Amino acid sequence: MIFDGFKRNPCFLGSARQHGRHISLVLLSIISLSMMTVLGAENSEIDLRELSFEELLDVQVTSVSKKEESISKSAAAISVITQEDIRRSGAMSLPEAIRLAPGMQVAAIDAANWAVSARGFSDIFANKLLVMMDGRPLYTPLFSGVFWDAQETFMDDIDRIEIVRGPGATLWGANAVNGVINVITKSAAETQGMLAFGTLGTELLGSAGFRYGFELKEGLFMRVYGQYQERDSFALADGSDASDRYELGQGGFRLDWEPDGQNEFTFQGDIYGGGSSFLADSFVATPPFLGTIVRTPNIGGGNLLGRWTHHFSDSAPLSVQVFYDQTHRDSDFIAEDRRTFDIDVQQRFALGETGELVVGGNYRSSQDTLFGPMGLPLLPGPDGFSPSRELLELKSGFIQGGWDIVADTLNLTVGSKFEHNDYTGTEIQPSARLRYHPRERHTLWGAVSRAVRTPSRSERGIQLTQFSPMIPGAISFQGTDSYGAEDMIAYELGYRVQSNDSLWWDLASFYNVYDNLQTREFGFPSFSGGLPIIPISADNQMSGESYGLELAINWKVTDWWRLRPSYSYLQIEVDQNLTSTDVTSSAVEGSSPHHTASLWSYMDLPGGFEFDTGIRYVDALPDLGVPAYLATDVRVGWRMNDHVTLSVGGKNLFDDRHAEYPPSLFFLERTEVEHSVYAKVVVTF
Amino acid sequence: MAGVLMSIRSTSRACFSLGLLNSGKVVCQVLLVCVIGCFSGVSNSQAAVSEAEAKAEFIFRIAQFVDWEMQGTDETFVIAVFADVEFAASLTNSLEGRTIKGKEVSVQLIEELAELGRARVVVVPGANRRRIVRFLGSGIPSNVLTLGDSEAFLKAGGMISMLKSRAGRIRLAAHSETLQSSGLRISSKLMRILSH
Repeated sequence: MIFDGFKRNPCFLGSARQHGRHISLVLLSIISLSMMTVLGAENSEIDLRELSFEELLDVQVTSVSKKEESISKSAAAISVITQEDIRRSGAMSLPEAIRLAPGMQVAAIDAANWAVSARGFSDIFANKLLVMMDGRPLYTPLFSGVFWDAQETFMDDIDRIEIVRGPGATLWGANAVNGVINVITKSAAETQGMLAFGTLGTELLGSAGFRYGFELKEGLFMRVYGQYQERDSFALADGSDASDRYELGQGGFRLDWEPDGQNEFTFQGDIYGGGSSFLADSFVATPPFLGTIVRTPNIGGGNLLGRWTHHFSDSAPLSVQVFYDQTHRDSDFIAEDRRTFDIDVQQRFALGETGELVVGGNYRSSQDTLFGPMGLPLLPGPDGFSPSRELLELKSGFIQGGWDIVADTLNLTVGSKFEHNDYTGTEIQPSARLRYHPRERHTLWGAVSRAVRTPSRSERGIQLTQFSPMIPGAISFQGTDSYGAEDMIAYELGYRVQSNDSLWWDLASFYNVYDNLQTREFGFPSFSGGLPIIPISADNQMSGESYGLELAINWKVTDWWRLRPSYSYLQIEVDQNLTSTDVTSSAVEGSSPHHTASLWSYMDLPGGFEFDTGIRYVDALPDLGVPAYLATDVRVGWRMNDHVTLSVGGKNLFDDRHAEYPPSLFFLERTEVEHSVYAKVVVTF
Repeated sequence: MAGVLMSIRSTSRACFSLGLLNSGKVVCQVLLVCVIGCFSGVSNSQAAVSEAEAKAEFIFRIAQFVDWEMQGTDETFVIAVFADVEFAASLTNSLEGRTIKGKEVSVQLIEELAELGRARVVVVPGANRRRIVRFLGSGIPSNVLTLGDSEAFLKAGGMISMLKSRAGRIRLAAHSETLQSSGLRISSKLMRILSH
């Protein structure tokens, strides 16, 4: 029993008894499910030889994922969320889908915003995770993080989400410190025909979408799509409406063309627009001059991406990718316009029989225009960003080689990224990974890597003065050139077993050493109109370490039942320099859950029915005032025929509402996720 | 916008009582899990088979519908699998000890056309269009039945493809022109199934 170890070792159960109770519950569920399987399931194999040809055509087939095979050969903590996982979990947004991966910290802040991270340092402004969609980074250099409210895609056309926990800087560059997420959509050739869906629910009030794929000429496929969604407000702690309703409309296309056996072209684009509202404590014109008002930011943008892959030979593809992304956000206290252009070239070469060498180069320019708060009165001094327009350039190259030291048994991969940014100059991010197969289907791997998180535009250029309702006077956030890169050395060790066709498990552990972590230092106050203005600037006066482990199991109990239990443990410890005046940054220690456990069950029932359940335990975030919670999701799907699928489901059942993550800005109200139900219909032709 | 704006959070480390869930809710969840377990007893009747097993059976059946003139020198009925070790292994497993046209089936893994030998059937698994185009274009004798499992295979001139539908069933599709011009004699029953 894999979980016995956790029971014996008290550190996994935490100090509070209640923690134990919740984990025990999830464990109990896993054990009871497996007991029932052993007792209840009989071997129900079909003898195909007995069937007529017509009956054979009616047999339901299942396939072992090629991705699982590729995972078993990688020397990193990788997990893959498949389209099937997404569909059956009832996930209707990207963060919900990412939450299906073990070891990820994904928490709803409000109806529109999420705190997403791997291995800690979670926040709405989480800045150590690289997220990409079809190779296009989704983060904004404004804070090196992702505005999740602007990131959606046609969920049914996602092929898979590949998630690497731990640094991926050697291939992907700065800010891939704690993890890399790549959302990969299907090619247009795989999404031929029509797919339409509609959803009604209590939290996701409604969504509808349409995709149509067709063949323009031999080998040239295209699809177009459009969708709209509206989410209901979350609740405030007292149960009242949080006024944070969210809506987003989006459309796009993708073309895939293989004119001959040697060239592949992809051309795709999206356009989106929407907005959400939120409650903010603010000054108002009437006594007592302090109140809560609803603010309504809006977002919009679009992108175009082209990729050409040329196969010089079977093992030497050259890939050239170019994208342009334009985004606009007007959130009342800050407005951002950004245009990003990026070109990326990669070439692979075979190194002997088993080796491979990859080299690549990248250039990116990002031009922004930033505005400070428009609606806030009493703003002394400079306000907004300095300069208000800036062009940031990033140039990088990487080389990585991997080969078998002992054929099919021991493999070494080494490489490094060399990246030049406008703020801290050149950063070198090497890594070495060793993979050992002691037996067939067993993989032991270890890695040592360095990654950096480079300063973002806001830490260098911000000039923003905010009156706080909580203190007399104002706080002035001031960018500074003295703030440098944060860096990290990661040590990872993992073991992975595909013990047979039905059981696969993966254990990853890590020890990360951080240096020059960000702190927020107070300066000497100045006075304006008799009120103190306290300057705050970013600095690098903190170091720290984090360690933990992540266990994921994929168990095909029978042909019609699959279980996916997972557990992760995380500990972060930081030390501030004695000279630091920061009073808040050390809260990072208690801002990520120590224990996270989940159990997903997917069942194929007779008559085309599916019954899927997920239970998720997330430990408390003591430094943020968020208690532990247990969430239960249930879904029943019914495939009426080859064209129509119906599903109904509930999320966060048995729980009126719970907080997952507080907003990071002091003038915003904390909101809570409520339980919800939904019904969805998908029609394909 | 940063961690810089993140400021002024309460740093009080209040100890949270985990009274989030009362015991009634916990009981409900355990019950739910038990209900899921009960379902398991009911639903044994529905079973699915692996995609590879089903395809192996289709290959076996399809081969029987083609009228080959077997020669005395043929010791076995050879089915070649192009460049897919795992599929070849699974096919060997599934068809072990079975016979087609009175000859025991033998599965051969081949990496290029030259290795085709006496194979009557060649299976080209996967959807790598480039690889498929190259292999099918390299001059396969017209009396060899080509089978694949992708749309790309049909488009590249393959004869019959076993396609997995969204509903998880195998559907057969044929490239009728290639099939007709091949000179292979195919039973009318298979033609009927293919034409559906």
